[in-house]
Amino acid sequence: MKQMSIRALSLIAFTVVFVIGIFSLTYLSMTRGDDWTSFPANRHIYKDGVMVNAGDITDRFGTVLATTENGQRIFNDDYYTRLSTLHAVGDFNGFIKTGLATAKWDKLTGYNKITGLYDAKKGGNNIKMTISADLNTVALKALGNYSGAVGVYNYKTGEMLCMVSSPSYDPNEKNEETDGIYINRFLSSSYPPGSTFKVVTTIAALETLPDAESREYDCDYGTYVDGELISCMSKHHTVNLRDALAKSCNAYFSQLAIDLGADTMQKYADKLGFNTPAEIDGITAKAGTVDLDKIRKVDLGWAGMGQYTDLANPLQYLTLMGAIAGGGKAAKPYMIDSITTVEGIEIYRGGVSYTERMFSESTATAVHAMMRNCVTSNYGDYRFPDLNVCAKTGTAEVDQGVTPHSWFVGFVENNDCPLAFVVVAENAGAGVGVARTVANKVLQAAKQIV
Amino acid sequence: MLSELASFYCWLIRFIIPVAAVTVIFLCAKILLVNKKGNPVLAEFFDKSGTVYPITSYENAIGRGKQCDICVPSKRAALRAAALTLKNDGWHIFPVTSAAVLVNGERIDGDSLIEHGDTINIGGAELELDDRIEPDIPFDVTAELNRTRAVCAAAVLTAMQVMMALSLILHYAFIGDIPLQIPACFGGLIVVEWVYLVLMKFKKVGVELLAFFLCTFGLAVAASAVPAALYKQFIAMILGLVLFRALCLVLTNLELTMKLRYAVGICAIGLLMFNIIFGTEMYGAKNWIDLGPITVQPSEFVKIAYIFAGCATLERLMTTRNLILFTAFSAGCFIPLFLMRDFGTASVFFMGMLIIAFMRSGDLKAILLFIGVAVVGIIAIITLKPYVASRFATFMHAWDNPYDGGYQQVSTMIAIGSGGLFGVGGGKGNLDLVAASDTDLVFGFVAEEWGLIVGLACVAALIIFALYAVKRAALTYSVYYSIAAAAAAGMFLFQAALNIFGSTDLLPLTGVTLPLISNGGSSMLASMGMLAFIKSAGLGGDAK
Ligand SMILES: [Zn+2]
Repeated sequence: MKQMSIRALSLIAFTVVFVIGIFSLTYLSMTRGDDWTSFPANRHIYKDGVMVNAGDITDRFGTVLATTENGQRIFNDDYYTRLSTLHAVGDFNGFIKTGLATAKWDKLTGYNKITGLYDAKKGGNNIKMTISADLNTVALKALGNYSGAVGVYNYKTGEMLCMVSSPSYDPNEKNEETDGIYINRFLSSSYPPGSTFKVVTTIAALETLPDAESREYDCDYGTYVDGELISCMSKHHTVNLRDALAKSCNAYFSQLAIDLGADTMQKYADKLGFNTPAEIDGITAKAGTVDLDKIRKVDLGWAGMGQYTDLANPLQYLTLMGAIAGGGKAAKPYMIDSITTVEGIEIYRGGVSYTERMFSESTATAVHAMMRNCVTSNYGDYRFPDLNVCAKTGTAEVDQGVTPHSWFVGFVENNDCPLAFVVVAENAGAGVGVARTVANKVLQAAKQIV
Repeated sequence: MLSELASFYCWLIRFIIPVAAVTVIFLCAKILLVNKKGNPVLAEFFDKSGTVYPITSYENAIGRGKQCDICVPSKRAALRAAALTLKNDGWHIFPVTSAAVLVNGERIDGDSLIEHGDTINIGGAELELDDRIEPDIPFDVTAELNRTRAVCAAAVLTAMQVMMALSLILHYAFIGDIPLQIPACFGGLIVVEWVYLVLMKFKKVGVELLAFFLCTFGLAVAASAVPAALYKQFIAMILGLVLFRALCLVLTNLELTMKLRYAVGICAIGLLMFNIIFGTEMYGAKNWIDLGPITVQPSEFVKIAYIFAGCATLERLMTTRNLILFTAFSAGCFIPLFLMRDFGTASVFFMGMLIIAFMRSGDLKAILLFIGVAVVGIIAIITLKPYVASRFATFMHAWDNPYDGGYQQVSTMIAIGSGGLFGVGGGKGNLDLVAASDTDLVFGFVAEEWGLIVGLACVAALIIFALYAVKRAALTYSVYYSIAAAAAAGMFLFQAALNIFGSTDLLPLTGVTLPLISNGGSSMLASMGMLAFIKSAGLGGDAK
């Protein structure tokens, strides 16, 4: 009999294996349960592949952007509202990954890992966004036929007022053209930053060189680095930092970047948000990239003025503008104002939160003044009536023979109208052209609703 | 107002039912696993120096080895010299080696009855038998405690059953007519349960309580998936309980069991042969027999016969040292199952075979040999018959083929995710729209409607069976019970592994049932029968 207790351990061995299996399954269901549940074959929330058991999505004024009626998911009646809010709201087939309909499906259906989909039967939760559908429409129309992105947010409160990606499409129509339309360019794209990157180099210089503001370099239609020309549009002669930024002197910033050195430039690029994906309401954006590892001297010059392999993400740039306007640290952009159950109980409210300090307050003040100077001395303050815009343009060279991308980034110097903005129009030419015009149209409209 | 009250009720019980389920499991675990009492002394040997050797089992190994139940103090004795067995007419001794065993000074060469006052001599050590000692039934403090626990568990279980039935009734009331089967079958289960427990005086009913617990979820699944089949499932439960009691009675009589072994073994193989010839193919396997109004799955019943015929007593273990007959018998069961393409059941048998073979021989090499042969066999089948492997092609790739090959697995995972920890409520799941959801995918079914906690509680019940079999392995009156209980619990557990992990794509989906929960008469009846072997592990202690 006694030996049986030892032989029975074979059963214990199997039981242990079984229990390990059960633990693995439990672990999987706790970590991947949300992926399992959101699969479009789930009849609790989907009908013919469309998530129908989900709450309303409204803009900041209560305009319903998406809702469910009689078991059908429908969008806003207005054509332009549908187009301009599409990437923020998302489609119902899950093509636009960063849209709320997909990225926040759990909030919309009331799903969580503890109570499962029990609450989905009631119709889920309603999400109110901070964006304005009308402002989005202004931005989309202003972009016209250009592809690109526009983002505007309140740099004091963090509320996103406008987030538009072009091209868009009408989710009510079956569309054939699918090339790139499912990407929210504001979140999921990164572009060569062009001259807008000079702001980054400026901040690095102000933070590390005591004589940054008085430092001068020569420009003769550019400058030669190791025998290679980094060219300028005109001959800027001897310029200081302030004028170089206003005139966007390539020669100045390439020499400045080389003097700062790759390590310092890399450190500040990282500090200002490059190489880390930005986030908005837990939705991850594409990271901007700056990689100066083992770089040639001349390439460091190019990198210092936003070419070489530099890439910037619009959300990351918007946050950087918020940090300059906010004295060195930014209010983080958010776009979910509140989430309420169908019974009207508020279960989430968005609010202001701040990034880590990126640079000192004095640096912020100095850059702020220089960007204001860019507008007054070069871009034309009269083009932005009643706004006091501080900004930097960018003309990002892409490939040979292709029209460069047009950037316009900055903020409004006004306590009653604390707006930061990013406009990027693909292949639209100089930053002082299309992007500047779009920025003014959107800011004028945004000023009315702050 | 009424409907608001109803939905509040349904919301509330989602949290009460898991608590009740865990409570029942906890109480049953205490009943089955926590009492520490040893067996009473049945008789004893004593030697000239006055040292006493208590005999506590019906079957005892005598020898020099430390593993023997009666360790003789002689260096000349064999490691395992003889088997001492209590039969109807008294104690029998049986030498198991060629070394001499003397009874009252005379060498015996076979089974001999020894009586009070007889002396046995093994390797020079003389022991005298005293079987007229006062029956030493130790005062069992846990027995009373366990009866209280059993009453508590039954009360909580019944409360849970009432809550579940009511929520299912409310669900159907919202969408149309209430199927009468639900109150009838749940009510019937509660009545049967209490009648049984009262008849058993709530004494040593841990195994049955867990079985009733699992059956409750079986009924709940049937009530949600196919209310029309509920009576059938309920009748299968009642018949299963009758089969369980009948088998328990047979098993209590070890000599009768031994006499029936060969007949049962031959019947098992005969039944499988009959199945091959007259079977009907359903769900890709030809393991059904159509009897007009009902179809039965003989392979389910053969599981009972397999354990019944495959286990052995200590005397046999010590005399027949090889496993040839047992291996041949096992092969006689596997081959028909393979021919029927019922690979799931075949592998459950294989697990049973491994446990029985190891419990009988303690020979790890033989086990490794069996596993080696099985691996070679599987490779041969995959190479020679590629279509067999193609049935499992989506294994580990369910999410790559979510709408065809992996549909059942994907649906099960969706169900588990949708249910969360507390479930979406009885009847409100969507898994019933998927094929075989109430049998092969039943874990997902339970998890979706009643929550993952309840699903894990069901799994815990099966684990408790295995732990109980292990705990009792050395305490039963006969090795036969130890082996049978371990084999039955191991086969339950292995079947659960194939069912649960198969439906969640951690193992290939082989289409075996989850014991006592899956919908289906054959499975239910057979599972209740298997339970008798687990119950037999309790035969010992105060069984007489
Ligand atoms: Zn220049």
